[in-house]
Amino acid sequence: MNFLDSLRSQFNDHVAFRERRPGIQQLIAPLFYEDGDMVDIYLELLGNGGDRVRVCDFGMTLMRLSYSFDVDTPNKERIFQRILSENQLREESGNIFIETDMASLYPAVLQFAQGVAKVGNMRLFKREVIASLFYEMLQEFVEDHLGEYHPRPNELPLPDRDDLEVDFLLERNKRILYLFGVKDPTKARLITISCLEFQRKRLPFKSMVVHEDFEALPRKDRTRLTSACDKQFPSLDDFRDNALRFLEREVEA
Amino acid sequence: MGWKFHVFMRINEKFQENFSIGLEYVPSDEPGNIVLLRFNGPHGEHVLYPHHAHYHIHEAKVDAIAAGLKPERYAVVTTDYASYPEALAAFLRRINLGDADRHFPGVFQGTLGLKEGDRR
Repeated sequence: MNFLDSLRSQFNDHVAFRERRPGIQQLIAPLFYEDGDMVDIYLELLGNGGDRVRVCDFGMTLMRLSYSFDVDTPNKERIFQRILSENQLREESGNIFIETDMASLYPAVLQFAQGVAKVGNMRLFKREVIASLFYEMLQEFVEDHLGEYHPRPNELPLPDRDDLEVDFLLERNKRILYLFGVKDPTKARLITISCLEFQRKRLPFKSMVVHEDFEALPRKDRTRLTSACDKQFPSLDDFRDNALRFLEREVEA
Repeated sequence: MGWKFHVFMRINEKFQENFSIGLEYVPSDEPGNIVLLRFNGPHGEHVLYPHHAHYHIHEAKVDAIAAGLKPERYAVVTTDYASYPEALAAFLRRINLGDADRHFPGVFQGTLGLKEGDRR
């Protein structure tokens, strides 16, 4: 029994093979992407008469991914390499592959299919998806790391102004800080109005703003917010790195 | 009207028959794009057409969007093209790209314009 027959048998005859080029078989298996296209899996016999097989995609996974998502930044490349590493896959010039002996071909094919599916799902890391998680991630950090400041979410400093809400009120040593998260111009303008009104009412507080992406805000919104609030963190990463040190200085002053 | 679209064109270096030419709609009021149309080569089977690999065209359907599926999950087998250059010409005609010949010189040359019934 050759290795293709063995693999077909292990799949209970639910697969077939098509020779796409001399020595290169495409595995026809009931594994499909969300758009209905079959997952691209090719088998290539390695060496002369050896029993090593390369399971690969000849770049098809990254090609499909590139319709809507490019691995074009160091961060994305890092995530891509991590997915490969964790699934014991390798990559050369865009070709994702795993090499195995014939006896282990069946589990290798399943492992490969699982791994390339995860690579394909990197499109879920697109900016708009990550941006939609910004407030959840901010809340998670506040709850996990700022407990000593007794965070109170959705606080209304002026009871008669339920339109002016603070994302988190922090308090320690009788010092009060209002923490806001910003990911779009609308929220930036609301925070500007809120901070100015709180100041007009002479409330005792310091304001902190955490941006999803400071540079993405229109210039005028950045200017107005900078004038109205006391401290800004240009990104969530910057907030995570520096919030504790800043807060300690603020409450000890 | 300010509607925005994006076209992508991909062809695999190893298998020239593995190509994809697609049209995406880019909404202005919500995140994410919607693939409206995608012309593919016979790279493999499709869940709707098992057992054979065909040139096929993915099309976005309201039913798929409403069901939370990939909008372009529906695909139809096509005989409108049999190569990447032919697919590109067919795609540009389908999306009615203005001045297509200027942006893609010669794209409509070399197509015999055969219709169903002309084949013998």
